[in-house]
Amino acid sequence: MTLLRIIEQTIRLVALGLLDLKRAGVRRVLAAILLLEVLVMWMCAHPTHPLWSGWMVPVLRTAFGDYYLHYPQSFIGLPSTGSAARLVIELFVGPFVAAWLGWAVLRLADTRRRHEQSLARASGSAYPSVLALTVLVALSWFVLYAIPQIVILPRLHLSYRPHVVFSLVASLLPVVVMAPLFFALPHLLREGRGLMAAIRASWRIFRDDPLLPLLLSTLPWATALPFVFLLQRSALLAASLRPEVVLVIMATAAAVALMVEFITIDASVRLFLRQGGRDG
Amino acid sequence: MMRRVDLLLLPLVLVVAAGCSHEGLDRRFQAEKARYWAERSALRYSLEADPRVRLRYYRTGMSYLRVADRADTTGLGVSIDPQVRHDLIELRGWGLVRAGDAFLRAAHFELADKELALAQREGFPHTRAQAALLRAEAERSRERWPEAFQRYREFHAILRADPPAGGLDEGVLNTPILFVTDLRAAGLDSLVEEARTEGHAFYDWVQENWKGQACAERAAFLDHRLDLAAADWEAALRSLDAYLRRDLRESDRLNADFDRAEILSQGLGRLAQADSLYLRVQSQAGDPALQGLAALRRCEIAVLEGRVEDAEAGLRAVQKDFADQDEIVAAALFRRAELQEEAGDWAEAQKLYRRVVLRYPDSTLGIEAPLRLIALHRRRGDERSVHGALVRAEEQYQRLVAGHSSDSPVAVQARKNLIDCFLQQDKIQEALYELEQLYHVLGSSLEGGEALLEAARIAHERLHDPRLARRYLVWVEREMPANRVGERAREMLRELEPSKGKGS
Repeated sequence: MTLLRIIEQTIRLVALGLLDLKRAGVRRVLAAILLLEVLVMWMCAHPTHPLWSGWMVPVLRTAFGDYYLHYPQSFIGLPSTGSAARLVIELFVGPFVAAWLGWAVLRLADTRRRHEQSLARASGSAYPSVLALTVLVALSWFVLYAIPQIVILPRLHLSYRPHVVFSLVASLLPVVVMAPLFFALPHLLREGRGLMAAIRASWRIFRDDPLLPLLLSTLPWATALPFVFLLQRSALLAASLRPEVVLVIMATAAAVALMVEFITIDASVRLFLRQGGRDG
Repeated sequence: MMRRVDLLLLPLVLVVAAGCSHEGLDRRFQAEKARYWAERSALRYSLEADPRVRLRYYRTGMSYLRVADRADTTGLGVSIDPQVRHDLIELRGWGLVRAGDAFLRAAHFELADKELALAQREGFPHTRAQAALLRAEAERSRERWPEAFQRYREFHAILRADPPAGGLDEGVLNTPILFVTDLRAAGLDSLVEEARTEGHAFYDWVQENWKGQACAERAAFLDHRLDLAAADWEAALRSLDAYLRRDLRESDRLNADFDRAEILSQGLGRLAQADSLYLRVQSQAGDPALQGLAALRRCEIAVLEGRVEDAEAGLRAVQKDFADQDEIVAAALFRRAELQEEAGDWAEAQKLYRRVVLRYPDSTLGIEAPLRLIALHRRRGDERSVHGALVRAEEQYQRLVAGHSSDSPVAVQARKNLIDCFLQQDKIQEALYELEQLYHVLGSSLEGGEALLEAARIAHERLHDPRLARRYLVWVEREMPANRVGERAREMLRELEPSKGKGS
């Protein structure tokens, strides 16, 4: 398959994902999870508010010390505190949402099967296996990210530009290594044969035609890059504009990330179905 | 999936969480937010070239007051974290002092005094000291000398009770000298003596308390300047000689030598001795600004001794040797122009004044030079050149006013000179407008009041409009009823009374 054809297919799948956003009826779920994420980020930005300071202050104190309990430090430190909070949400609520989105696309695209269960019930029953997949991905991702970034990079003593380039390439490493798991979610939902079977099936499909899933796997990484670049300069943003801008950027990043998550799930389900679920 | 009963539990969890909320922390967070925005607006205002300086400072003061209000610890429980309580008291004191300072600049003296008195009562020792010093400043700017002296003593008492560990800064160390200078200018000789004695005692205490530290050394040096401020040359010389007997670093010794030369030349007329000291400073000091100043002083001595050619040569050498010191070179050029003017070489004088204007427009003498050029043309009887010089000066001063913050010394002086230019061209309305702007910049200070008195005088004498003059005078009387400018306004109002009938 030529590169041009892969790019064309990617664009087609992204466009289809955008169309499915409306057709699959998931906008409310995405809005709800976005609202939750923004609310938690707002709590991190204003941790001393009487409504939630009772539990937010001890949590932040334990994790980050007293520094982020001050203004405007709480906004400047939002890329750290807010991202940590988002990670927790994505780890525990994320699997349910991913299952929901996956089922919604399956119902829309998989016309060969009848789906009797409600979306909520189907997502709830898939939750344990999707959670296991998420934890596995998160752990692998953490190891693949941490080794170059925390162990190797500080020992290289690079100047600014090589440091940035190394950091960028190293951050792509987990994305590439985890690409073979691209089809695990649709397999888990549709076939329901357990985590290991899903991973094996996903690997088989990936092996036959790796470029397209690889390109689609980098989509969340690529769309997050500009936000990471901006948020690394949160102090500068706060000083030149206003501290609250950091929260706005974080919220926009969360919204974009959710949309891209849906597009990649949509693409994985459609590509999986195109294979005819043959490896299932 | 979450059951309905779990959803019902959620508000209960929130209520429990709210029950053990950190109220002190939130108050600190809100106060810090208010501080952040107050500082940002203060910075924004400081960058604007808006003549409504009083309004600007008033708004800044209100922003700082919000910090103090939000950091108020009233009503907080006893279980509050001591560090948070400490931070809140610190923030409140900071807000009150800043608000007081801003209200002072806005000439809202009563409001400033109220906030500063609160800071003096509630704050930590360094806040209380700052507040007392600002209250003294407030009284000083209103020329209420006994009250100012009382505040000044309170300031010293707070410092003595709880001396700051890091020592005192230059601003605090200079206050006794400024105070004596002001009292002497006001002609209050008995208070001058009291303030001088208090100042000497203060410097002795600083030397004793911070022995061996930089501020103690500085206090030892400044001691003679108290006597200088009181124009007691002999006493100043004795103090300085005592200081010079100490084991000093070379740079401190040269600074002292410069002051000694100033006393000998300006106070005691011992020019030869002063000249040799200036020469030592000029050749050995490490600070080029001080070296340049010493070289300029030597030229002045040459003029006083009638060695005008030596002075001219010395000034040329200053221009060459201190080319990177703008104020020094501007002063040398300006002095050369004055010497040429006195010698009758008006063309050369004009050339030199122009060079000052073109090369150093922002320097003290660069602002003065356009007016000198006008005066020079007028002395020569060249009215066409007077007109041209006036137009150029007007443009120059308008550029300076627009290019600097309205209350900066450069903009204030440029505005005053601009008014002078307008008056010389009989542009009375423009002059009155600029005098009103000057009042807005200077606020209800004595200088601001004098600007309005000047406006009243011009309205009366140049416009023959007693009604307008009275309006200005009533304005002054209302804004500053209790000081000498207010008194002068009342006098002028009484003088205007007979013309009331004529005017109306």
